[in-house]
Amino acid sequence: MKAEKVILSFVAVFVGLIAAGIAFYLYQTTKVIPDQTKPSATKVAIQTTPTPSGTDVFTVDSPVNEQVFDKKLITIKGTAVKGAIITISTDDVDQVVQPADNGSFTLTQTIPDNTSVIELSAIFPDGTQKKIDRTVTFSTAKF
Amino acid sequence: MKKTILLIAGLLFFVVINTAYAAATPTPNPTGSAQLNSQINQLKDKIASQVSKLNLVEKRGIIGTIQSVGNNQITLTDPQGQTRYVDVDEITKFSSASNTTFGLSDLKKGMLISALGIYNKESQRILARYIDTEIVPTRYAGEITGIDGKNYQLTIMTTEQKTVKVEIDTTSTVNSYTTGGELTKYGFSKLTVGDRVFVTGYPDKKDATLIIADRMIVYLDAPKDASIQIVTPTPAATVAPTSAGGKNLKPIK
Repeated sequence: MKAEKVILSFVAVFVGLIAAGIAFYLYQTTKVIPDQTKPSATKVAIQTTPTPSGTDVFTVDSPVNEQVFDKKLITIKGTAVKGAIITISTDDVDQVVQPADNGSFTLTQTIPDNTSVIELSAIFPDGTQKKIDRTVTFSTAKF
Repeated sequence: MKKTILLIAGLLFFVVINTAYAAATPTPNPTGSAQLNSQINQLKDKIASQVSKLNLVEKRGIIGTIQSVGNNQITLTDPQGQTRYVDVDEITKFSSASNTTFGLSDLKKGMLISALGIYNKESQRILARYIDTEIVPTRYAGEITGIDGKNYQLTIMTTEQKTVKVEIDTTSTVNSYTTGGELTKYGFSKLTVGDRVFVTGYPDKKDATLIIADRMIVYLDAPKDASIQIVTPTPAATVAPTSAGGKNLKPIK
Protein backbone atom coordinates (compact mmCIF):
# COMPACT_ATOMS: atom_id res chain seq x y z
CA MET A 1 0.00 0.00 0.00
CA LYS A 2 2.86 2.32 0.85
CA ALA A 3 4.59 1.63 -2.45
CA GLU A 4 1.37 2.43 -4.29
CA LYS A 5 1.11 5.78 -2.48
CA VAL A 6 4.68 6.66 -3.44
CA ILE A 7 4.08 5.73 -7.05
CA LEU A 8 0.85 7.73 -7.10
CA SER A 9 2.67 10.74 -5.62
CA PHE A 10 5.35 10.54 -8.33
CA VAL A 11 2.69 10.18 -11.00
CA ALA A 12 0.81 13.19 -9.60
CA VAL A 13 4.00 15.30 -9.56
CA PHE A 14 4.78 14.18 -13.10
CA VAL A 15 1.29 15.06 -14.29
CA GLY A 16 1.54 18.44 -12.58
CA LEU A 17 4.87 19.18 -14.27
CA ILE A 18 3.52 18.13 -17.66
CA ALA A 19 0.41 20.26 -17.21
CA ALA A 20 2.50 23.27 -16.13
CA GLY A 21 4.84 22.77 -19.09
CA ILE A 22 1.93 22.58 -21.51
CA ALA A 23 0.35 25.65 -19.99
CA PHE A 24 3.65 27.58 -20.32
CA TYR A 25 4.12 26.40 -23.93
CA LEU A 26 0.61 27.46 -24.85
CA TYR A 27 1.12 30.84 -23.18
CA GLN A 28 4.31 31.45 -25.18
CA THR A 29 2.71 30.50 -28.50
CA THR A 30 -0.24 32.79 -27.95
CA LYS A 31 2.04 35.83 -27.48
CA VAL A 32 1.86 38.27 -30.42
CA ILE A 33 4.98 40.29 -31.21
CA PRO A 34 3.89 43.67 -32.53
CA ASP A 35 5.08 44.61 -36.03
CA GLN A 36 7.71 47.32 -35.57
CA THR A 37 7.37 48.58 -39.10
CA LYS A 38 3.81 49.70 -38.54
CA PRO A 39 3.16 52.74 -36.40
CA SER A 40 1.52 51.82 -33.12
CA ALA A 41 -0.54 54.96 -33.10
CA THR A 42 -1.56 57.52 -35.66
CA LYS A 43 0.23 60.75 -35.03
CA VAL A 44 -1.75 63.83 -35.82
CA ALA A 45 0.48 66.66 -36.96
CA ILE A 46 -0.76 70.01 -35.82
CA GLN A 47 -0.08 72.56 -38.50
CA THR A 48 0.78 75.94 -37.13
CA THR A 49 2.36 79.00 -38.65
CA PRO A 50 5.02 80.01 -36.16
CA THR A 51 6.63 83.39 -36.28
CA PRO A 52 10.14 83.07 -37.77
CA SER A 53 12.54 83.08 -34.83
CA GLY A 54 15.88 83.96 -36.47
CA THR A 55 17.01 87.50 -37.12
CA ASP A 56 17.70 86.88 -40.80
CA VAL A 57 14.84 84.59 -41.82
CA PHE A 58 13.85 85.23 -45.41
CA THR A 59 12.34 82.59 -47.66
CA VAL A 60 10.37 82.69 -50.90
CA ASP A 61 7.88 79.84 -51.30
CA SER A 62 6.37 81.01 -54.55
CA PRO A 63 7.36 81.34 -57.35
CA VAL A 64 9.70 78.39 -57.57
CA ASN A 65 12.96 79.11 -59.36
CA GLU A 66 12.77 78.60 -63.16
CA GLN A 67 8.98 78.27 -63.06
CA VAL A 68 7.05 78.86 -66.28
CA PHE A 69 3.74 80.73 -66.11
CA ASP A 70 1.04 81.05 -68.73
CA LYS A 71 -0.33 84.17 -67.01
CA LYS A 72 1.49 87.45 -66.49
CA LEU A 73 0.06 88.11 -63.03
CA ILE A 74 1.75 85.87 -60.48
CA THR A 75 1.56 85.54 -56.71
CA ILE A 76 4.68 85.95 -54.65
CA LYS A 77 4.62 84.31 -51.22
CA GLY A 78 7.19 83.92 -48.53
CA THR A 79 8.23 84.52 -44.96
CA ALA A 80 10.57 86.95 -43.28
CA VAL A 81 11.34 88.11 -39.80
CA LYS A 82 8.85 90.65 -38.45
CA GLY A 83 9.86 94.21 -39.21
CA ALA A 84 11.85 93.35 -42.33
CA ILE A 85 11.51 95.54 -45.43
CA ILE A 86 11.10 93.40 -48.52
CA THR A 87 11.75 94.78 -52.00
CA ILE A 88 10.58 92.90 -55.08
CA SER A 89 12.26 94.05 -58.25
CA THR A 90 11.41 92.90 -61.77
CA ASP A 91 12.86 94.24 -65.01
CA ASP A 92 10.19 96.96 -65.11
CA VAL A 93 8.93 97.74 -61.63
CA ASP A 94 9.68 97.62 -57.89
CA GLN A 95 7.37 96.88 -54.98
CA VAL A 96 8.09 97.19 -51.26
CA VAL A 97 6.17 95.22 -48.61
CA GLN A 98 6.50 94.29 -44.97
CA PRO A 99 5.57 90.87 -43.54
CA ALA A 100 2.57 90.33 -41.28
CA ASP A 101 2.93 89.60 -37.56
CA ASN A 102 3.43 85.89 -38.26
CA GLY A 103 6.17 86.72 -40.77
CA SER A 104 4.31 85.80 -43.94
CA PHE A 105 3.97 88.07 -46.94
CA THR A 106 1.94 87.75 -50.12
CA LEU A 107 1.60 90.04 -53.10
CA THR A 108 0.79 89.89 -56.79
CA GLN A 109 3.26 90.92 -59.44
CA THR A 110 3.08 91.29 -63.20
CA ILE A 111 6.04 89.61 -64.85
CA PRO A 112 7.62 90.66 -68.16
CA ASP A 113 7.35 88.63 -71.36
CA ASN A 114 9.76 85.70 -71.81
CA THR A 115 12.34 84.86 -69.17
CA SER A 116 13.43 87.35 -66.51
CA VAL A 117 14.94 87.47 -63.05
CA ILE A 118 12.96 88.74 -60.06
CA GLU A 119 15.19 89.94 -57.25
CA LEU A 120 13.71 89.80 -53.76
CA SER A 121 15.74 91.47 -51.03
CA ALA A 122 15.02 91.91 -47.34
CA ILE A 123 16.44 94.54 -45.00
CA PHE A 124 16.29 93.07 -41.50
CA PRO A 125 15.69 95.09 -38.32
CA ASP A 126 19.39 94.71 -37.41
CA GLY A 127 20.38 96.42 -40.67
CA THR A 128 21.69 93.37 -42.52
CA GLN A 129 20.34 92.44 -45.92
CA LYS A 130 19.65 89.19 -47.76
CA LYS A 131 18.61 88.65 -51.38
CA ILE A 132 16.97 85.81 -53.27
CA ASP A 133 16.73 85.57 -57.07
CA ARG A 134 13.92 83.81 -58.90
CA THR A 135 14.09 83.16 -62.64
CA VAL A 136 10.56 83.17 -64.03
CA THR A 137 9.16 82.82 -67.54
CA PHE A 138 5.93 83.97 -69.05
CA SER A 139 5.11 81.78 -72.04
CA THR A 140 1.96 80.38 -73.57
CA ALA A 141 3.88 78.25 -76.05
CA LYS A 142 2.82 74.61 -76.23
CA PHE A 143 5.61 72.04 -76.41
CA MET B 1 -5.52 -1.11 -6.76
CA LYS B 2 -3.71 -2.21 -9.84
CA LYS B 3 -6.74 -1.18 -11.80
CA THR B 4 -6.56 2.31 -10.33
CA ILE B 5 -2.88 2.60 -11.23
CA LEU B 6 -3.59 1.40 -14.75
CA LEU B 7 -6.47 3.86 -15.04
CA ILE B 8 -4.28 6.77 -13.92
CA ALA B 9 -1.49 5.67 -16.26
CA GLY B 10 -3.97 5.51 -19.14
CA LEU B 11 -5.36 8.90 -18.29
CA LEU B 12 -1.85 10.29 -18.12
CA PHE B 13 -1.01 8.82 -21.52
CA PHE B 14 -4.19 10.27 -22.99
CA VAL B 15 -3.42 13.73 -21.60
CA VAL B 16 0.20 13.68 -22.84
CA ILE B 17 -0.79 12.56 -26.34
CA ASN B 18 -3.54 15.17 -26.54
CA THR B 19 -1.31 18.02 -25.42
CA ALA B 20 1.45 16.92 -27.79
CA TYR B 21 -1.04 16.96 -30.65
CA ALA B 22 -2.37 20.33 -29.58
CA ALA B 23 1.16 21.72 -29.46
CA ALA B 24 2.01 20.28 -32.86
CA THR B 25 -1.10 21.76 -34.50
CA PRO B 26 0.07 24.95 -36.21
CA THR B 27 -1.46 28.17 -35.05
CA PRO B 28 -2.80 30.42 -37.78
CA ASN B 29 0.35 31.76 -39.50
CA PRO B 30 0.44 35.28 -40.89
CA THR B 31 2.56 34.10 -43.87
CA GLY B 32 -0.41 34.33 -46.24
CA SER B 33 -1.27 37.91 -45.31
CA ALA B 34 2.44 38.85 -45.42
CA GLN B 35 2.65 37.61 -49.00
CA LEU B 36 -0.43 39.62 -49.86
CA ASN B 37 1.09 42.70 -48.23
CA SER B 38 4.31 42.14 -50.14
CA GLN B 39 2.42 41.94 -53.42
CA ILE B 40 0.49 45.09 -52.56
CA ASN B 41 3.76 46.89 -51.77
CA GLN B 42 5.31 45.74 -55.05
CA LEU B 43 2.29 47.02 -56.91
CA LYS B 44 2.50 50.33 -55.04
CA ASP B 45 6.20 50.64 -55.98
CA LYS B 46 5.42 50.00 -59.63
CA ILE B 47 2.66 52.60 -59.61
CA ALA B 48 4.94 55.13 -57.85
CA SER B 49 7.70 54.44 -60.39
CA GLN B 50 5.36 55.04 -63.30
CA VAL B 51 4.02 58.23 -61.71
CA SER B 52 7.55 59.52 -61.14
CA LYS B 53 8.41 58.72 -64.77
CA LEU B 54 5.41 60.73 -65.87
CA ASN B 55 6.63 63.67 -63.72
CA LEU B 56 10.23 63.29 -64.83
CA VAL B 57 10.07 66.20 -67.24
CA GLU B 58 8.64 69.68 -66.85
CA LYS B 59 8.72 73.06 -68.56
CA ARG B 60 11.45 75.33 -67.31
CA GLY B 61 13.05 78.60 -68.24
CA ILE B 62 16.60 79.39 -67.26
CA ILE B 63 18.98 82.30 -67.69
CA GLY B 64 22.72 81.95 -67.83
CA THR B 65 26.02 83.12 -69.22
CA ILE B 66 27.45 80.95 -71.99
CA GLN B 67 30.58 79.03 -71.03
CA SER B 68 30.86 76.93 -74.16
CA VAL B 69 28.91 76.03 -77.28
CA GLY B 70 29.30 72.93 -79.38
CA ASN B 71 27.83 69.72 -80.69
CA ASN B 72 24.22 70.82 -80.14
CA GLN B 73 24.97 71.54 -76.50
CA ILE B 74 25.35 74.83 -74.65
CA THR B 75 26.96 75.06 -71.23
CA LEU B 76 25.75 77.94 -69.06
CA THR B 77 26.44 79.36 -65.64
CA ASP B 78 23.16 80.39 -64.01
CA PRO B 79 22.70 83.34 -61.59
CA GLN B 80 23.31 80.96 -58.66
CA GLY B 81 26.70 80.00 -60.13
CA GLN B 82 25.61 76.49 -61.11
CA THR B 83 26.71 74.90 -64.40
CA ARG B 84 23.70 74.08 -66.59
CA TYR B 85 23.53 72.00 -69.75
CA VAL B 86 21.19 72.97 -72.56
CA ASP B 87 20.57 70.70 -75.55
CA VAL B 88 19.36 72.09 -78.83
CA ASP B 89 17.84 70.28 -81.80
CA GLU B 90 16.45 71.10 -85.22
CA ILE B 91 13.21 72.57 -83.84
CA THR B 92 14.86 74.88 -81.31
CA LYS B 93 14.07 78.50 -82.18
CA PHE B 94 16.73 81.18 -81.70
CA SER B 95 16.00 84.89 -81.42
CA SER B 96 17.77 88.08 -80.57
CA ALA B 97 16.55 91.65 -80.35
CA SER B 98 19.57 92.87 -82.31
CA ASN B 99 19.79 90.12 -84.95
CA THR B 100 16.91 88.79 -87.01
CA THR B 101 18.91 85.84 -88.40
CA PHE B 102 20.18 84.71 -85.05
CA GLY B 103 21.20 81.06 -84.76
CA LEU B 104 23.33 78.55 -82.88
CA SER B 105 26.48 79.71 -84.63
CA ASP B 106 25.95 83.25 -83.28
CA LEU B 107 26.18 82.12 -79.67
CA LYS B 108 29.50 83.11 -78.12
CA LYS B 109 31.13 82.62 -74.76
CA GLY B 110 30.12 85.32 -72.28
CA MET B 111 26.71 86.02 -73.84
CA LEU B 112 23.71 86.10 -71.53
CA ILE B 113 20.88 83.95 -72.86
CA SER B 114 17.64 82.39 -71.71
CA ALA B 115 16.56 78.88 -72.60
CA LEU B 116 12.96 77.76 -72.38
CA GLY B 117 12.29 74.09 -72.86
CA ILE B 118 11.78 70.65 -71.37
CA TYR B 119 13.81 69.94 -68.27
CA ASN B 120 14.62 66.35 -67.40
CA LYS B 121 14.90 65.96 -63.64
CA GLU B 122 16.95 62.80 -63.93
CA SER B 123 19.59 64.00 -66.37
CA GLN B 124 19.23 67.63 -65.15
CA ARG B 125 19.45 68.83 -68.76
CA ILE B 126 17.08 71.12 -70.57
CA LEU B 127 16.05 70.47 -74.16
CA ALA B 128 15.59 74.01 -75.40
CA ARG B 129 12.62 74.95 -77.52
CA TYR B 130 13.39 78.69 -77.44
CA ILE B 131 16.71 80.45 -76.95
CA ASP B 132 16.88 84.25 -76.64
CA THR B 133 19.60 86.73 -75.84
CA GLU B 134 18.92 88.56 -72.59
CA ILE B 135 19.74 91.88 -70.97
CA VAL B 136 19.26 91.68 -67.21
CA PRO B 137 19.32 94.91 -65.21
CA THR B 138 22.08 95.50 -62.70
CA ARG B 139 20.85 95.88 -59.13
CA TYR B 140 22.69 97.30 -56.15
CA ALA B 141 21.65 97.69 -52.52
CA GLY B 142 23.70 99.84 -50.18
CA GLU B 143 24.23 103.29 -48.77
CA ILE B 144 25.14 106.57 -50.44
CA THR B 145 28.72 107.50 -49.59
CA GLY B 146 29.12 110.44 -51.95
CA ILE B 147 26.98 112.86 -53.95
CA ASP B 148 28.17 114.70 -57.04
CA GLY B 149 25.39 117.25 -57.46
CA LYS B 150 26.99 118.76 -60.55
CA ASN B 151 26.96 115.53 -62.59
CA TYR B 152 23.96 113.97 -60.82
CA GLN B 153 26.10 111.07 -59.78
CA LEU B 154 26.14 109.05 -56.57
CA THR B 155 28.78 106.85 -55.03
CA ILE B 156 27.23 103.85 -53.33
CA MET B 157 28.83 101.35 -51.00
CA THR B 158 26.98 98.08 -51.49
CA THR B 159 26.22 95.51 -48.83
CA GLU B 160 28.95 93.38 -50.48
CA GLN B 161 31.46 96.18 -49.69
CA LYS B 162 31.71 97.22 -53.33
CA THR B 163 31.85 100.87 -54.39
CA VAL B 164 29.79 101.72 -57.47
CA LYS B 165 29.00 104.95 -59.32
CA VAL B 166 25.40 105.60 -60.26
CA GLU B 167 24.09 108.36 -62.46
CA ILE B 168 20.57 109.71 -62.03
CA ASP B 169 19.39 111.08 -65.34
CA THR B 170 16.13 112.54 -66.56
CA THR B 171 14.61 109.11 -67.24
CA SER B 172 15.44 107.75 -63.78
CA THR B 173 12.63 107.25 -61.28
CA VAL B 174 13.52 108.00 -57.67
CA ASN B 175 11.08 106.89 -54.95
CA SER B 176 11.24 106.90 -51.19
CA TYR B 177 9.83 104.36 -48.76
CA THR B 178 8.93 104.79 -45.12
CA THR B 179 7.81 101.93 -42.89
CA GLY B 180 4.11 101.24 -43.25
CA GLY B 181 3.82 103.58 -46.21
CA GLU B 182 4.05 103.32 -49.96
CA LEU B 183 6.59 104.28 -52.59
CA THR B 184 6.52 108.07 -52.99
CA LYS B 185 8.27 110.28 -55.55
CA TYR B 186 11.55 111.65 -54.28
CA GLY B 187 14.06 114.13 -55.62
CA PHE B 188 17.80 114.00 -56.20
CA SER B 189 18.26 117.18 -54.16
CA LYS B 190 16.84 115.47 -51.06
CA LEU B 191 19.43 112.68 -51.11
CA THR B 192 22.01 112.72 -48.34
CA VAL B 193 25.12 110.72 -47.57
CA GLY B 194 24.17 107.63 -45.53
CA ASP B 195 20.80 107.11 -47.19
CA ARG B 196 20.01 103.47 -47.69
CA VAL B 197 19.12 102.83 -51.34
CA PHE B 198 18.23 100.13 -53.86
CA VAL B 199 19.24 100.90 -57.44
CA THR B 200 18.18 99.16 -60.64
CA GLY B 201 19.89 100.22 -63.83
CA TYR B 202 22.06 99.37 -66.80
CA PRO B 203 25.76 99.96 -67.45
CA ASP B 204 26.64 103.09 -69.41
CA LYS B 205 27.58 102.32 -73.04
CA LYS B 206 30.74 104.46 -72.82
CA ASP B 207 31.80 103.68 -69.26
CA ALA B 208 30.76 100.19 -68.11
CA THR B 209 31.67 101.02 -64.51
CA LEU B 210 28.98 103.70 -64.39
CA ILE B 211 25.39 102.55 -63.85
CA ILE B 212 22.63 104.64 -65.36
CA ALA B 213 19.80 104.29 -62.87
CA ASP B 214 16.45 103.24 -64.23
CA ARG B 215 14.85 103.22 -60.76
CA MET B 216 16.03 103.98 -57.26
CA ILE B 217 14.33 103.47 -53.89
CA VAL B 218 15.47 105.46 -50.86
CA TYR B 219 14.58 103.79 -47.56
CA LEU B 220 14.08 106.78 -45.30
CA ASP B 221 13.79 105.00 -41.95
CA ALA B 222 15.54 101.71 -42.64
CA PRO B 223 18.17 100.61 -40.13
CA LYS B 224 21.80 101.18 -41.11
CA ASP B 225 23.99 98.28 -42.16
CA ALA B 226 26.82 98.07 -39.64
CA SER B 227 29.13 96.53 -42.25
CA ILE B 228 29.02 99.71 -44.36
CA GLN B 229 31.47 102.21 -42.96
CA ILE B 230 31.16 105.69 -44.43
CA VAL B 231 34.48 107.51 -44.22
CA THR B 232 34.06 111.26 -44.33
CA PRO B 233 37.27 112.99 -45.46
CA THR B 234 38.83 115.03 -42.67
CA PRO B 235 40.10 118.50 -43.65
CA ALA B 236 43.88 118.75 -44.04
CA ALA B 237 45.61 120.41 -41.09
CA THR B 238 46.56 123.99 -41.94
CA VAL B 239 49.79 125.46 -40.72
CA ALA B 240 49.36 128.95 -39.33
CA PRO B 241 51.88 131.36 -40.87
CA THR B 242 54.29 132.91 -38.46
CA SER B 243 54.06 136.66 -38.07
CA ALA B 244 56.69 138.89 -39.61
CA GLY B 245 57.68 140.25 -36.22
CA GLY B 246 58.59 136.88 -34.79
CA LYS B 247 62.02 136.24 -33.46
CA ASN B 248 64.35 133.79 -35.13
CA LEU B 249 65.72 131.25 -32.75
CA LYS B 250 69.32 130.31 -33.18
CA PRO B 251 70.66 127.03 -31.96
CA ILE B 252 73.00 127.24 -28.96
CA LYS B 253 76.56 126.48 -29.91
